[in-house]
This record gives sequence, C-alpha cells and structure tokens, in this order.
Amino acid sequence: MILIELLQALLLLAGVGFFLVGTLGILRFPDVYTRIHALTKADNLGLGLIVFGLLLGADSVPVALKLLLVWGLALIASATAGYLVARAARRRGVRPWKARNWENG
Amino acid sequence: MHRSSRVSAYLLRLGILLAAWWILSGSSSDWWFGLPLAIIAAAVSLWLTPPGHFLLRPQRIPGFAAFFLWQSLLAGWDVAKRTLSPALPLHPEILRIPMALPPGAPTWWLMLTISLLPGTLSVRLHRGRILEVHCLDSRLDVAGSVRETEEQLARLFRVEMRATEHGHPS
Repeated sequence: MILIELLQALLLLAGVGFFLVGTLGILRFPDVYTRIHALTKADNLGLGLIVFGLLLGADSVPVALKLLLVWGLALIASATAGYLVARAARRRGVRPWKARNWENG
Repeated sequence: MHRSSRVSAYLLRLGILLAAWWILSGSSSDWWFGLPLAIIAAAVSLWLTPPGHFLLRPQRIPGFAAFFLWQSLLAGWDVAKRTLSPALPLHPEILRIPMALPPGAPTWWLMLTISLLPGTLSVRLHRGRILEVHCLDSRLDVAGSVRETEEQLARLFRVEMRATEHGHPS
C-alpha cells in the first residue's frame, strides 16, 4: 500500500514538473510555433502522468474511466487548438524563428 | 450512403454517448436526463458528421495506443530537455510533406497525432495533399517519423498509402 502511494506521489510530482516545464517553454522559446510545441507536448505528458497517478487511487470503474476521458478530451483539444493557432499564424505570414550560425542545411 | 450503414452508425454513436453519460454521471440514476440527451446528441452528430467510409479496426487500437503513449512520453521528454538546456537547442523549420494517407479522417487523425509527437506540429494542409509541418529540430528525420505515424494510422484504418516523394524544406 505504501508502495502504491509512493508511486502515486512520484507520478503526480513528475506531472506537475512537466506542466511547469511547459510554462517555462512559453517564456523561453522564441516564437509562436515553438511555444505551441512546448505547451502541447509538455502538458500532454504532464496531464497523462497526473491521470495515471490518480488512476492508482481511483476507487471505482466510472471514476477511472472519467479520468481517462478527461485526458483523451484534453489531448484532442490541445492538438486541435495548437493546429488552429499555428495555421492562423502561418496565414498571417508569421515567419518561423531560425537558429543563427547554422550552416548544415 | 446506405440506410443500414446510417442505422449502424447511429447505434454506435448512441452507445458511445450512453457510455460517456454513464462515466460522467458516476453510474447514478440520472437516466431520465441522460437517455433523451444521448438520443438527440447522436442524431445531431449524424446530421453534422455523416458516417465516413473509413472504418477503425478495433483490434489495432491497442497497438496504436502503445505507439502513441510511448511517443508522447518521448515528446514531453524531448521538449523538456530543450526547454531546460541553457543553450536552448532549437533548429526549427517548416517542412512540406506529401501525404500518403487518403484525405478525410485518416489525414485528420495524422495531423492531430503528429502535433503530440516529438518535435512536430501540423501547421497547414495544402489542397488536402501536402502538409506543412513545423519541426523543432530539422536535423532529425522529421519526414521519416511522419511516415511512421502514417503507417500506424494506415494499419488502424485499413487504408492503402500512396507512393510519395520525401519532404523538403518550404
């Protein structure tokens, strides 16, 4: 039992960590496209870890399925929203940020 | 569209909505509200999105889920590494990648999926055939990982992939 609680705590903390990294990515990444990468991917994994952590403590099947449903809907919503923001930026002609001093390509 | 396929699509969607209601209401006795709601919502969904001719193969769902979960773990890890690295190692680029999947549901699922996979983001679809993908690191094999995702989805939907050229910078 204590092992499960320990694992749960680890998963929840890791999930929160990835949310934090996603937010840090918004601040550090240089343009709208790269920021979408940071948000969608880090938050997807962060929410997934939190959902799995909570699944270990779920006391009934509907509660467990509800957690998975939340994750699934959040995934679809963040992928769709990310695509719409990227497409809007592209249509307005926002140029993607490029790395300087890079001659391989 | 055949009448029978519309009926089976309706029953399938009704079943999914009833299951969703059961999950959301926590299996309590709110069916007087949930049942009519599901019946109406299934009808509206059939009206807004008529049944397509792509069928999911249920036996392929676990394989695709395993692929997706592993890749989203890698994606989160990859973006976290880049965020936390002091040098901020980014080499972004927008690539144009010809789609090998048929237009419609498989292409839409591909665009959603690759946005959650390591280093790729769907930006725009040209005439349903060429996808603009923003990648975090163009030194990696972006076209190859998009192709791998297409193969996974082709197996999930049982569709043929068309021969295409490789992606190139826009």
